Amino acid sequence: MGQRESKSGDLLQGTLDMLILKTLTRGAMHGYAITEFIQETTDDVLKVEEGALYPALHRLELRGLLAAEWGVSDNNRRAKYYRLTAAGRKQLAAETEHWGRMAGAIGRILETA
Amino acid sequence: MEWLTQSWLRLRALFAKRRLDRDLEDEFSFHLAMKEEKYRSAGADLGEARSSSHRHFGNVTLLMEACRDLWSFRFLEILGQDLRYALRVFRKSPSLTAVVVLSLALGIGANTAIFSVINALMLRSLPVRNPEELVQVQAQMVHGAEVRTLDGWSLQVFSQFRKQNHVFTDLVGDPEFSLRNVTDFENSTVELVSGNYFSVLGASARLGRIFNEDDDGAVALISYELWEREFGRDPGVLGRSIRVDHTSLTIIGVAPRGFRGVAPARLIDVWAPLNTTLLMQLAPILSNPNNYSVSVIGRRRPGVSLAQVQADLQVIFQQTQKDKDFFGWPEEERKEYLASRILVQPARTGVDLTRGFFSRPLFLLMGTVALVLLIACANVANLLVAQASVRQREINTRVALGAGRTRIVRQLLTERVLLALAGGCLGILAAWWGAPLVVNLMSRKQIPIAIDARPDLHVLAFTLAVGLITGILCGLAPGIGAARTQPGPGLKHSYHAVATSWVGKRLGKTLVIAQVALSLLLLVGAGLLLRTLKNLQGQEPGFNRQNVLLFMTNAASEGYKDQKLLEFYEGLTLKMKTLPGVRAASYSVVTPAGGDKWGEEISVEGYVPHAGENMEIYANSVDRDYFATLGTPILLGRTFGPQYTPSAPLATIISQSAARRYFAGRDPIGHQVQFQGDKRNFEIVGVAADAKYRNMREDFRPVMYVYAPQDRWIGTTEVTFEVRTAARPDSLPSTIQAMLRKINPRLKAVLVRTLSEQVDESLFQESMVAWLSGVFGAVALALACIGLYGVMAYAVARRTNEIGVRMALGAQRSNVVWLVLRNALVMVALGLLAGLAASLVATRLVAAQLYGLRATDPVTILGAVLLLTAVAAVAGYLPARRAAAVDPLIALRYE
Repeated sequence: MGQRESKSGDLLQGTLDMLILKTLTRGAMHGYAITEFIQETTDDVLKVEEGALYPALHRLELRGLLAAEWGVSDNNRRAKYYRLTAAGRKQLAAETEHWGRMAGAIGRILETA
Repeated sequence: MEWLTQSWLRLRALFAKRRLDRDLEDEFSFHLAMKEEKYRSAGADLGEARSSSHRHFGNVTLLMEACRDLWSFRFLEILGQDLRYALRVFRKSPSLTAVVVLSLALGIGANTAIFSVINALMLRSLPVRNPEELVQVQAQMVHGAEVRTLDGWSLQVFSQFRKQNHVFTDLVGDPEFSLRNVTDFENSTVELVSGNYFSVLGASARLGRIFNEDDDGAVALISYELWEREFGRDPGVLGRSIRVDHTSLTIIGVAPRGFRGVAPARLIDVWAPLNTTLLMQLAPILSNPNNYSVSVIGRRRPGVSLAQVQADLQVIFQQTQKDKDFFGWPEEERKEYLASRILVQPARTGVDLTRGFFSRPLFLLMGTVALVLLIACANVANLLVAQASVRQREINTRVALGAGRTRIVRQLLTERVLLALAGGCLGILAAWWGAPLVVNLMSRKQIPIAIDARPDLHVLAFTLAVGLITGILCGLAPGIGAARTQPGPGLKHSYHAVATSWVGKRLGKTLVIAQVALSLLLLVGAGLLLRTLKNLQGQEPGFNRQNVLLFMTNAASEGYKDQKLLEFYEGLTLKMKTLPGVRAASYSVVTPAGGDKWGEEISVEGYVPHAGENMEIYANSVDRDYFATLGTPILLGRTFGPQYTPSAPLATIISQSAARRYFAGRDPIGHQVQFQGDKRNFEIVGVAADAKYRNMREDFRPVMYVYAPQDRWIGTTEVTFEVRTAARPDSLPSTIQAMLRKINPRLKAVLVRTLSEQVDESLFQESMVAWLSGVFGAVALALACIGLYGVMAYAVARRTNEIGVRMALGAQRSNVVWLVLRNALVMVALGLLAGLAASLVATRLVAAQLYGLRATDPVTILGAVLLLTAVAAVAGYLPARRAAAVDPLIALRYE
C-alpha cells in the first residue's frame, strides 16, 4: 500500500534516461558498470543512485528502448546486460537534440543576463 | 506500438512471476557483490565493505517492489486485491449486504420497469423508415371556451391533402377505429389503411406483396403473428380467402414480424385497403363526407419545416371545405369547424389512442416508484453510514500502517460500485420480468396491448442515470470522509466515539425520518386509490351484476337485415328463456358499464331548458325483459310489451334521474319526449331506477330507453344479449354456440363475457393503478422498516456499554426496552408529521382519480398512520429487546 513511487522531477528522470541510453552506445553493460561509467566520466559530479537506476532501466526495457539478456561477467558471475535497441538509438538522438537546444537556450539567457 | 510491447512483456512477466523475482534478486545481489568488491579492493575489510555497500544501495526489498510493480499490471492487481477484500467484507456481514443490494434492486428495478413501459408506449421511435420525417395532421377547433383537437379527417379531405399538397412525399390514412371480431378468427382485429400505407412506411412483405397504390380489389395482408397462429406459417396461405365483415378477401401477403404500422401498441391481425372497404357494409359510414375518423400521417419532404407543412395544408383545407355540404350541422359548429387551425405534430413515435388512456396512470406510477427509489437510497445510505462508523477503526489502522488516502477511497469505492452493480443488475433483471407484467395488467381482452416493454438501450441508459444518481444519493461522501481521518486521534478513540459523531447519528436519524415520511406519503396515496376502487366496486350500480352472461352474434354481418334481423333477435331471446337454468333473457344496443354511449339531444314536453343547457340524454334500445334480466326495478308505470308494435305510437321508459330533472315532482307518465335529431316523439310509459350507464365512475345520468322493435335502426344494428342464470353461467356459452349453429351454421356468438367481468374491466385502469401503488406502498413500508431496524440495531450495538452500566446500576429490562423504543418512536413520530404535511399537498395530484372520498380522507390517513406505526414499532422493538437481553457483566467488559 502507500505510494511506492517517489516522484523525481521530470527533468532529472528524463536526464537519467538520456545518460543511460548514451552510456549504452558503447555496448552492452550491466547496471553496476553503468553507474561506474557515469561516475567516472563525470569525475564523480553525477552520482547515480541505485534506487533510481534500476527502476529507470526496467522502465526503459519495458518501453522497448533497451533489450536485456543474462550473461556471465568478467568475474564469472550471472549478470543482466542491457543493450540499446534501434528504438533506443532513435530516442537518444531525439533527446540529445532536444537537450542541445535547451542547453543552448539556457546558455544564451545566462550570457545576456 | 509501445504499449503493445509493454503489455506483451508484462504479460510474460505475469506468467513467470517467480522468474521475475529471481532475476531481480540476482541483478541486485550482483550489483552489491560488485560494490563490495570495489570497497574491498580499496582496503575495507569484509564486514565493512558489505555494510557500506548495503547502506549505499538502500532498501533492497523496497527497490524490488518498485521494479516488480513496473512489470505488473498494477491497476488490475490492485483492483483484484480490492475486489477480494470487498467480497470478504460482504461475506462478513451478509445480511447488511443483502439488504443494501435488495433495496437497490427494488428501487432501480421498479423505476426501470415503469420507465420501460413508458418508453415502449410513448418514447420509442416507430420501427419504420426515417420515422423523424413523419408528422400527424390534426385540426384544432375552438368550441366555446374549450379548444378541441380533432385527430380524424374525412376520406375526402385526406384525398385532397394527398392530391394538392407540396410538402409531403406522401400521406397515409388510417381510420382511428379497428374492426373487432369481424373475421373467422377468434379475438381478431382488422385495420383499414390507405393503399400506400406499407410502401410509405417502408415496410416490405414477409411473404407475397404489399398493397398497391390503388388496390381496390378484395385483398388483405395478414400479420406474421396470425400467419403463425392460424396457418402454421404455411407459404400456401397466399391466394386463400378470408371473410372480413361479410366480404371475402384474398390474402396477398404477410406483414413483417412485429409490424404495427403507426400504432406501437395496437395488435392488428388483418390489414385491408381503404378502397376495399367500399365493398363492405361500413362503406356508407367511411365514405360519408361528414365522417371524421381517418387519422392522417404524412412523410415530410427533406428540408420542409413543420410551419411550411402547416401553411400548405391550411390553404388546402379551407379551399376544399368551404363549399362542402355539412348536411344537418348546426350553423355555429360549421363555422367553428371551418375556422379550425391545422395542427402539425411530429409523429416519430407514431399515433396511439392507448397513450391518452395510460399516460396519467403511468406518470403517477413513475412518481411512485421514484419515491420508492428515494426510500431505498435513504436505506442504503443509512446502512453504509452505520457500517462506515463501525469500520472506522479498521480504516484508522490501515491509515496508521501507511495506506494512502486515495488507496483507501479506492477500496471503499470498489465496494460501493460492486454493491451498486449488483443492485443495478438485479434491478434490470427484475424489470425484464416486471415490465411485461405491467403491460399484462394494462392489456384487456377487448383491447389487447402489444408492446415489447423489455428494456432496450434507452432504458439501459435511463437505468445507468438512475444508478448514478442513486450512487450519489447513497453517499460516496461517507467513504471519502472516512479516509480523511487522522490516524492518531482515530486510533485512540474506540469506535464508539466515532460512531456517535455527527455524521453517524444525525444523518442516520434524518434519513429514517425522511423514509418514514415518504412511506406515509405512498401509503396514503395507495390507500386512497384502493379505497376508491372499493367504492367503485361496492356501490349500488342499479343492476345486479351476478350471473349474467353477455354476448353478441355475427348475424348482421352474415346477411340478416331489417325485419329478418329483428325476428332473429326476438326468436333467439325466446329460445334462450327455455334453456334449463336460465331465469331471464333480453337484448339491448348498449350494455351497462361497457364503455359505449349513445347520446341524443332531446326536448321534453313542459320543460323549458335554461340558456345553454346541455339537453343531451343517454339513450338505449332494449327489449321488453331488459329490466327484469338486469334486475333494474321499474318504479313507475310499466315496462314495454307486445302492444308497442312498430306502427303504434313510440314508447319510452326514462330513468329516475331523467324524471327528477325534467319533471321535478310531477308525474312524467304520458308526457312526450322528442329526439331533436330526427324529430321522433316518444311517450313516457314508465320510470326505471337509476343504473350506471357508461362506466362505474360516472354519476347516474338521465337515460331514456326506447323499445327495440320500435327502433328504426334495429334492423342494421348488432345487439348484445343478456342472459340471467340461476347459478354461474359457466356452461352456457357452449350451449348457445350450439343453438346458433342449429339456426344457421355460419352464426356464432362473439364477445362472450359475464356482466361481472365487464364491470371489472371497466374498472381495470383504476384497479391497475390501485394495486400497483399498493404493491409499491408495501415495498416502501418494508424498506422504511428495514432502515429503522438497521439504525436502531446499530444504536444498540453502540450503546451496549452504556446499557450495561445502566443495568448494573439497577435499571430494569423494561426501562431499557423503553429507552431504545422511545428513540425509535420519536423518529417515527417526526417522520409521520413530515409525511402528513407532505401528503396533504401531494395527494391533490390524485384528487381527480378519487371516487367517493376526498384526498384528505381521514380514514385512509389514520389507517396509513396506524399501519406504519405498528410495523415501525415492531422494527424498533426487536433491537430494543436485544438491548434488554444484554448481560451487564459482558457489556461492561465490552470495549
